[in-house]
Amino acid sequence: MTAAIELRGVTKRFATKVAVDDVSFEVREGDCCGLIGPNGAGKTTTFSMLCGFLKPTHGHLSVLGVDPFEPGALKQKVGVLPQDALLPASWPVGTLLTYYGRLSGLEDAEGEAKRALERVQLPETWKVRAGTLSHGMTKRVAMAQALMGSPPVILLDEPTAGLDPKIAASVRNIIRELKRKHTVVVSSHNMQELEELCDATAILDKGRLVSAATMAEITGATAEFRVQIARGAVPLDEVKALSGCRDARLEGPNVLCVSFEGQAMQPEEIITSTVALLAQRNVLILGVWRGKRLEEKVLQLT
Amino acid sequence: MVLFLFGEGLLLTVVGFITGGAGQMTGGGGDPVAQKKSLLMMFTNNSEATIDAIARLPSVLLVAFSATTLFLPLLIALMGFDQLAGEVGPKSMRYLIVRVRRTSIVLGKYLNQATVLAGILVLAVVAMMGTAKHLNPDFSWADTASWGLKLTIAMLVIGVTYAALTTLCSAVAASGALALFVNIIALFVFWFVSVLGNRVLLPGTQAVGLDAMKEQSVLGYIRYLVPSEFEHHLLSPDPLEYGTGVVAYLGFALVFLGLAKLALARRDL
Repeated sequence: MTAAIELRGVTKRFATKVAVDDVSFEVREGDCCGLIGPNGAGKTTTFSMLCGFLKPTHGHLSVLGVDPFEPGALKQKVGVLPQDALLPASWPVGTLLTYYGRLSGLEDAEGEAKRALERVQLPETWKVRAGTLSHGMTKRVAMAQALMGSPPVILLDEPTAGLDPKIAASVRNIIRELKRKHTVVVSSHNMQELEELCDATAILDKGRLVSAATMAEITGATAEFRVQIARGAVPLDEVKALSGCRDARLEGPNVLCVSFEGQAMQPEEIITSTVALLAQRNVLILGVWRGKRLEEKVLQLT
Repeated sequence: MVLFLFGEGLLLTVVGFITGGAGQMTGGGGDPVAQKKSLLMMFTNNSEATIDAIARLPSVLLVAFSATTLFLPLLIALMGFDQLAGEVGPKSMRYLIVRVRRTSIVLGKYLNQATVLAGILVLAVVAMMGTAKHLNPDFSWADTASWGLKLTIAMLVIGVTYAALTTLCSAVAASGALALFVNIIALFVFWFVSVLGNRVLLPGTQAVGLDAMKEQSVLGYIRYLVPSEFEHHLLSPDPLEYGTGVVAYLGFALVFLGLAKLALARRDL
């Protein structure tokens, strides 16, 4: 698969402050990539450079083979949900989305606007002024404008921030639907969400890239899994003796961590045999998850 | 827009009342055209032909036109200061950038402002001409029509130039308030340069009226850095002088727009 987005040695300075320092990574076509990092890590700056809002001070950056800062380069190629960008308050939502559609050169701008609003479950806001919408509705209308015209690359900055759980889940569903058909970059603080949605991650800290890898690599999914124990004594030695098991240890009283030969063994085989062994020994299980969770990994790295 | 038209109406009422009253008081006391001409020669640096032409205009028209063009740059700044900066501050500009070229955004915003402005200015000139004709029945219909056209073109040329300056100020500022501040500072700098340039005579020029008290200096050429220096050209009966005025103003407009385009194209948004 070819790279839809490439950053090579990208640096962005604001006066003397280096916001992004020599960052290089790529996002493969059709992948969903999470842009992760603590506050001030350079996520939004990197995101803004991908969208053509900011010009890199140094380095090379391309989206679908074009420099995003080139005039008109992203037209019909990229849909963007910017963070904290206000929609023009006096415009009715339908008129505004239709206008954006026309600017994007869409043939049926009004139809696209209606379909996009239906996709974010807000068709009733067609005649409502953008300035009167709630925060959640505004976010979804902004999401709708990013989806219009079905651009090959979609960049979403904090798409679920400030949304209630139900609406956040519906936004996650939309992102899930976008995967494979579009290249998606999601910048977020919500690790659980990113772990669930993304195929790859780029982790930033203090403006520098600390890791760029697939989600499987970053969470160690191919070599580790955890079992949450409800009740019972874990037979550690017997688990260690299972075929393919490299190590087993208890992380606290209720979590069993099992490492295995990721290259040599399919994860489902060792997970099944471990669970079977625990069941035989009357150990009650609450859950199983693969790999070191993203949040822990990010905390380790940043 | 409403403010501008209201101001224009008020100006015409006041100026019409004053000039009408003055006409009655001085009625029969000498040639009013000659009096106006000598006054214009003392206080302006217009060419003799231009002074000759505008001295025949009704006073209400002359004063209203001068006052309008004096305040027009400020009114345009108030009308359009947030055209670009107003979208940069709240970042709504970001929805546009991924869809259209930054140059198109600058031109779109400028043309939008210039079109609204053109409508207002045409209305203002119609009001001026109507008032002038009403207060001066001897001001012929032919003169009303020809001067109406001339003043409309002059207003439009001045208007589109200062609209371009407002676009430039709006393109470099990070917020609407800052854009307005920068615009007012720019107008103040223009006024200062104009005053400085007109304190001296250009080398090799013939001094007329109060200008005889001034020294000749190359510093005088800085006056040409300011659009208003060409304002009196727009009233000249000489086609060459008139054309120079139009070209100079439009040249300034193009420079301002070019700089606005450059500023918006290169800046982070």
